Amino acid sequence: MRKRVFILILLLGIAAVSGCARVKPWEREYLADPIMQLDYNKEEKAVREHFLGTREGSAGSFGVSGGGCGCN
Amino acid sequence: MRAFKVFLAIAAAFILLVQSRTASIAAGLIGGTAHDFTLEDISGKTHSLGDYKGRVVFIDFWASWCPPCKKEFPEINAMLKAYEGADVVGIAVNIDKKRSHAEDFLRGVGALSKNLVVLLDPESAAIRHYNALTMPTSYILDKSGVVRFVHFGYNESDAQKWKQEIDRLLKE
Repeated sequence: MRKRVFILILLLGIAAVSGCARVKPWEREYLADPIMQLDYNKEEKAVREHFLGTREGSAGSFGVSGGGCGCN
Repeated sequence: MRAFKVFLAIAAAFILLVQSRTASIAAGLIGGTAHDFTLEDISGKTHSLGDYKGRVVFIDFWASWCPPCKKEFPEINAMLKAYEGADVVGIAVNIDKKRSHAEDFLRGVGALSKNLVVLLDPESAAIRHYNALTMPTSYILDKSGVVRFVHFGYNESDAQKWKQEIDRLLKE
């Protein structure tokens, strides 16, 4: 049974890998663009988190916050 | 525990496969004649690799979007300054799609060595023939245009290796 599970995981892994495409080193200009990073703009991220935290008045994944207008 | 061992074995096999691939690609290039290319420099002047036969040639493929390339470039420039007057030329092939990106970077580098030529290849036409696995990748050719050394990526200790390899080729 364990062997079958292992083979199944292996096959699923191989199937998943087949969807990958190799990007040549010289084709990575757009991937290397800072805009491709989730938090490329630290200031904008801080403002967004502050705004969301104060409007929601809840603890998000980015920390703890109280209520308020989010304007300071 | 057994599954962990299997995982370790697969991981080790994968690492070995990647390393052997890198080594085999480098080995495939070394000893072969470098592919000739013709590109323009920043001033619009055309240069061919063949123009530099009879000199040891250091070719580097770089881009302004590649952080290790930006670390490496001043090292190449400094190294080539030490070879001014010798039969050594550096060809730095920039593959940025916008030439302004290369120009902006070069403005910050300062004075370029007299034997360093910066060529623009926005279509990445030349690098395709050199099997570059990483950015940057550099090649050292002997005076007859044969690839003798290949460096994938950049380490701080590379400048010393380049000098040793160039000195060796100059003595031949």
